[in-house]
Amino acid sequence: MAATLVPQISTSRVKRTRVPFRRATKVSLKSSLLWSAAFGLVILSSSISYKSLYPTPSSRKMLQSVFSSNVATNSLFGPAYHLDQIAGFTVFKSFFTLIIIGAIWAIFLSSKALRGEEENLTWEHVIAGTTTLAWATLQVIIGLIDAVVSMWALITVFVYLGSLQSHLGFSFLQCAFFALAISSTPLLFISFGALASQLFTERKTVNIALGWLLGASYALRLVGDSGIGLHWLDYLSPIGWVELLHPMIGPKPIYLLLILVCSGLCLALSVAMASKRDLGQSLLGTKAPSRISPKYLSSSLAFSYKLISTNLFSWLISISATALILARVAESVGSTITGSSVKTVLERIGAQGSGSNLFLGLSFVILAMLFAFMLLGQVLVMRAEESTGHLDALLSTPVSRLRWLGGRVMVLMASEALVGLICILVIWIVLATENLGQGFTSVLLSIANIMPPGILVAGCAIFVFGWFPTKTSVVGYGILAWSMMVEIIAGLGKSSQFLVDTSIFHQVSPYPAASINWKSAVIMTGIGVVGTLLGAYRFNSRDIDPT
Amino acid sequence: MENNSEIAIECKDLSKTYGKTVALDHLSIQIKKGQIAGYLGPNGAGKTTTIRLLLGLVKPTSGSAAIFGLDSKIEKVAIHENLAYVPGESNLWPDLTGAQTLDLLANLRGHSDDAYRKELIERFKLDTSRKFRTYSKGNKQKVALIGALMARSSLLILDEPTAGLDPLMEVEFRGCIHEARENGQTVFLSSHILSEVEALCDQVYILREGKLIESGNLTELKHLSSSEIAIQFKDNVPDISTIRGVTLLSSGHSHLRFKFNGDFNELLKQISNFPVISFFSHEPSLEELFVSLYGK
Ligand SMILES: Nc1ncnc2c1ncn2[C@@H]1O[C@H](COP(=O)(O)OP(=O)(O)OP(=O)(O)O)[C@@H](O)[C@H]1O
Ligand SMILES: [Mg+2]
Repeated sequence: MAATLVPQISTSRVKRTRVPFRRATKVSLKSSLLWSAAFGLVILSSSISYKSLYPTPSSRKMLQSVFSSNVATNSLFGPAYHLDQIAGFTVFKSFFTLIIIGAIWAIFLSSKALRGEEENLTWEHVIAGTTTLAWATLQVIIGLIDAVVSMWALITVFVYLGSLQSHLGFSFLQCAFFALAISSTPLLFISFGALASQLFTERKTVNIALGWLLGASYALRLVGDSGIGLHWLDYLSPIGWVELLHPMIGPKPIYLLLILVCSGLCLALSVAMASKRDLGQSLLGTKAPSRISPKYLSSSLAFSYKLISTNLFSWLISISATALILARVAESVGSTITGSSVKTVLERIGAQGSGSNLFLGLSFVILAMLFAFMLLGQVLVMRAEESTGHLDALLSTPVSRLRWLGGRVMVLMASEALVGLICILVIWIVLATENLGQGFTSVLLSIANIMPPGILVAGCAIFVFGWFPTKTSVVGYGILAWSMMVEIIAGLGKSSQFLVDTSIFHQVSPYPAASINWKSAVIMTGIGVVGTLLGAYRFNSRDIDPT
Repeated sequence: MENNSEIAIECKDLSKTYGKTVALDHLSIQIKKGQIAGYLGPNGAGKTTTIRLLLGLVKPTSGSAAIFGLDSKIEKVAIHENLAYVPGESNLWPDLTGAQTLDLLANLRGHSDDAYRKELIERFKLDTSRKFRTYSKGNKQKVALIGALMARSSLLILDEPTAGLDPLMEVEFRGCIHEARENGQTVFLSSHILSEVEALCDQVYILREGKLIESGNLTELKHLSSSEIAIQFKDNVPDISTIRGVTLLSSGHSHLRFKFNGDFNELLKQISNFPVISFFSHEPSLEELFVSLYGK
């Protein structure tokens, strides 16, 4: 019999490799620990600041009456409830932000672990070993769920210990459920990420698809919470489900079922799809190559623009959408600020004027952050061109290094000007229709006011790109992460002036609520320009380093 | 004294160190215009480093490199006017199609022979409508190769250009290099594939651990390695152990097998009095040369 001649390999005896699991754990655990600590810090500082900002029952009652029926904040940041208690305020202040950050973290993490690794061919080696694609996918998923579970555990412990320490009075169960509610967003988006990674061939496409999903579920619940009788929309939105969990006070664990069933289904479907497809392929395949107009291939400057154009378009949409929403709700939020204790707080940081001006001034800082991320992203594309070896091909043609870098910087400035201009128009038109009486010059100044932090970050990143190319993204993101961390901490209570001054966003005055701080604007712009020049000087003579 | 305008590539005491690694150690070479120069060496020998120094992508720790008399470190743009480069790892833009990549390279370079480009695409059987990321290794290499060849630049710098090409394409590639020679183009070809260098190159440079260990044309180099000789005699065998350059491999009642890198006249004189039935001499290939240089 022929079959007996072939040595039989018993599948049960072959030891399956656990490399995918270990890699996924390695990729995810560190960032999970970091974010858990940051999340814990945000939660605790919200609670603690509540105690110092609203010490008396009457001030708490007032806060409650201001925000609980505020349609604008309810729809933007989720419904407020029990603001007269620490627990309620803590949820109101931190829950929504953490949901969004958690979702974004999960998007990048899952697309990297499940599609990025495959796209950059790391998996070729793994799959050639003793495992299959489906099995490897399952292992990675388990690794990622591990990270979510440790996030849950860490936040629970962190918040509970903090609560004991500062006498906040949270029970262990409350902490555990709050942490669970926060971690359930990453769980959902990891499962969506797993699914999208089966559908699309490129990590970029996976990220974009998930970005749209996040945007759509935010928009759905925004309408759902806007009090126009469409509350049922919350049930269609994954972020809505997490909101419905209602942690801390009056929890509704029943909605966990919805979240678990949905993620379970997505994950199972992903593994099933992985077993059906080939390595490196996806169910939807690669989209047919798009036609690129020959004019984009005509020079290195035109091509520089082409390389960032897709990204630029996404930024254009998201920044102007943010500007639109902020301007749209400025009046209603502003009117609630007037006379409330929030105003006292704002005045303490030097902001004055009408409620809507206060709100606009503060929300423009949000735009400043988005601009800074957009510009940094473009500098990182420069470094990416180098590390992928594309720059070797480009600079072995008669294109000078300074011309290449100069083109990049020009594209960067032009895109900032373009997005800024559109922002100005959007805000100006919206404010005009709301009769908020902001003149065009005032809106123009508002936007000019928020540009310097981005210029500073981009300039510093170009400097690092010139001198220490491999550190570009660490330093760039480091500056932004540090500044945002300081903003969060500073926004929640007293902290040292020195610390606060190290945040680049703190150097932006909340114009139109306060006058523009020209001095820091000039200094920040100056640092950006000098950084760019020094970086360019060094780049012109250094080794091109494709590592 | 060489006429300077006859020289395409010149390295003088060119060195490059990365931290403690000496990637290239005092390299001095001169390649004349119109030559096909082979640049050989095992992994990590410093071939890519030399090429990136020549292109001005990295700067030398000491010494200098020049292309057509222009210093690579100073004239970073001018040296590129008239050369085309195929990188060792063809990493071109993943989202561009083959055709778009070729367009971009042609525009950046400012010149390209469109008819020749079309011909090359047919000869290499490349489907240029696909995105670069979806190409196989060999097809990626073809894009880079066509991108360089279509420019008909005076100097072609090729870093392991045939990695991933199948044997038929390898034949096409050799044809293209022969055409380049006929056009008077200079070619600097780094390679692992000895048969390729043997078939194409006028001049060979051999590098090891950053140092140039041998150079010369093929005939000169072959002297470095011993021929293997086997002789079947009618009856007795002569005593050849006194001849310089003989390493005996085996000897019997009527045959001799030995390695020889001495003077053939001396050898022939010694055996002329002994009737020979068969004489077999095997010239060393570059392959064997390589092994004898590196295998030690
Ligand atoms: N950017 C760098 N940083 C540190 N070391 C480097 C760098 N580039 C090259 N080296 C080192 O220099 C040496 C020569 O490398 P090079 O790439 O020139 O070799 P090669 O001859 O092209 O090898 P291969 O045949 O594998 O392509 C190696 O030891 C390598 O590790
Ligand atoms: Mg190499």
